[in-house]
Amino acid sequence: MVATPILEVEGLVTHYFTSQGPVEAVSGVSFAVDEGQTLGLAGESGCGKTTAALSIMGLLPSNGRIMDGKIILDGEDLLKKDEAAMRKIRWKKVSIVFQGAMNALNPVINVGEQIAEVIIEKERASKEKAWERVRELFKLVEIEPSRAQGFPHEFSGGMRQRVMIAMALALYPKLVIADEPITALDVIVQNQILDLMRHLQEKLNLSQILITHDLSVIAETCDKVGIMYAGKLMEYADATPIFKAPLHPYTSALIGAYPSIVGEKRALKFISGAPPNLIDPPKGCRFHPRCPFAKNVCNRDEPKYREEEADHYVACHFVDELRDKLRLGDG
Amino acid sequence: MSEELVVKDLKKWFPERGGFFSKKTGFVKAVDGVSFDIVKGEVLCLAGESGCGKTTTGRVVLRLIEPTSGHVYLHGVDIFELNKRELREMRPEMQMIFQDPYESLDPRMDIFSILAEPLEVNRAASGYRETMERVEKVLNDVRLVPIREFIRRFPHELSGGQRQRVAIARALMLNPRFMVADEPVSMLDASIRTEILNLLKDLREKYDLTFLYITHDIAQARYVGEKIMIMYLGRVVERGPIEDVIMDPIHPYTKALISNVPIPDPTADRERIMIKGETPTPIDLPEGCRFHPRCREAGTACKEEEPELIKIGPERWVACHKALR
Repeated sequence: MVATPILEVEGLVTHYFTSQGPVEAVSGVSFAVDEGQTLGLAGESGCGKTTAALSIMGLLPSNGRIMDGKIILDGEDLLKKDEAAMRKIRWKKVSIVFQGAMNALNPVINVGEQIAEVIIEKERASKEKAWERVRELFKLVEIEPSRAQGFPHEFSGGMRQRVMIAMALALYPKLVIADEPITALDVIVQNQILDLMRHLQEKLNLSQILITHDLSVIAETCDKVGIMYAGKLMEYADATPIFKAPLHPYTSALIGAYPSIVGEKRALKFISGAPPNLIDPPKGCRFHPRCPFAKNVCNRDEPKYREEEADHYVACHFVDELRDKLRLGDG
Repeated sequence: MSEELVVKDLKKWFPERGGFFSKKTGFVKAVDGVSFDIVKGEVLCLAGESGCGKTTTGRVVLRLIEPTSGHVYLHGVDIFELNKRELREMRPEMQMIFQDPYESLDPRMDIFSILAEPLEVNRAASGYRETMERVEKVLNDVRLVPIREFIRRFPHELSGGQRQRVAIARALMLNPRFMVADEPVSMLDASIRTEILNLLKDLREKYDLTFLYITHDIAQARYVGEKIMIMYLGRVVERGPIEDVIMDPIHPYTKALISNVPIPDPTADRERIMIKGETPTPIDLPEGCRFHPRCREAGTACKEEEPELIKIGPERWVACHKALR
């Protein structure tokens, strides 16, 4: 079976204009999400993962601008759409779940009403029809439909995140972007939410982008993984090769920095220094100032992002030399 | 083996106010009868989900907030019996590292002043020269080098990792023997986290420290400490050597918690114990075992009687009616 991508992002460049100059938050990023699959975008704060998501949604803050690239969603080029057209696409074709469910919900309107409003506005549905859908959505996210009358503060953190998911699904979009959807939650509740998302994905044939800084969550949920650093995609492949045989020194170090409760207790890796300021990013490879393997060429030429193995893309000058050194083995 | 810290039946209840005129309506039993000890030089990790009482335990143990009842002995001295002056004299020995270095450092003071302040307050240095020497030594120990480059900077000029180093340096200024670290790396990115964790390991040797290390992350606890204690709704449910507890958890809550820790390996395959619902608030506590409404192994005794934390093996304690089997 050949999977068809629901979303293709090609050479995306997004800048923020600030008083200190333009910040190259995303600079030349390409990836695709196949139908019914989950792509994980991982990286540390400021790597551009959220900016990439906001670019797709057309929800960049006023000082953000997409400078170049293509975003093809279900056959349509989103960058050719004006705001009115984007408004029709948001929710209906792609929606987003944010991290802080409490901030995203209006505290003085009951949660069902907030979801119904979206349905009424976007589909010109009647109030009755909209509420019928709300009850259906609540069942879908496994909340007793009568609780739709409740206000945000009456829900626990996990329940609020379920409400947010129900809201994102209000118009049954094809693609859902989840930006750190479980970050503030405890592990048991995290798994309840991830389990729900997996279950919904199967049931609705959803495609998902999961954005998180937590690689262990990526390992457990994603088919494909993109590792971002300083606005660039460093590596992009199926989850297993990313975790078992990474080809980029950054990926390897980042995975090696995660402690695990299984396997031998091992020394954790660390990456010295901090991510660069993207007003004035390093020349050459953006990771070179922190890379233990960097040579002269790394601070001069930017490595090409290319397919080194089937479906395994990486941007590094020394893929062949480092291949064995970066392997993480089992556990 | 000598116990550096002994905690006996510690309770911290916060009054709950509500209704007209803010009447007392009950208590939030944040910490409700917690006992443990830490052997000198050891790291005891305190883990559990939000609201389990781990942060409150850390603060009460250092008497940063007053206890409701109980005893805390630091090398034999009951710190709850101390008067204000005695407590102040004992302060240098027990220090805390907080989660958020953005909040725990005064933004108007430079690094030198931040680190010199504890010496001045406690009149612990004889003059400027000794102060400078000691500040330099500690900066060196937390590897904020070259020192000249950092000493006159302000917190906002530092990265998150560097700021946490300053917070650690400040805690070390008076040569403490016991430290409570409350989620010291949870605000930091993964690549920076490891440096701080490794630093804490080194400092522990160098300063001969005993730690109570509070974290929600069991994988991190495994990396940092030797022993672990799991709390649920203000009570300890299980305590023991970390490897043993991870490999063979006994309390049903610990089992669920450990089975839900994500593993950074997409090929890992294991069974998850799903438990229903979320932790209730510690205001309306369930009768009997606090975990019984969510426990799939619960029997009649569990609904009626609160289980005590009992020793079931060398260094293993569990509070569960089913543990004796």
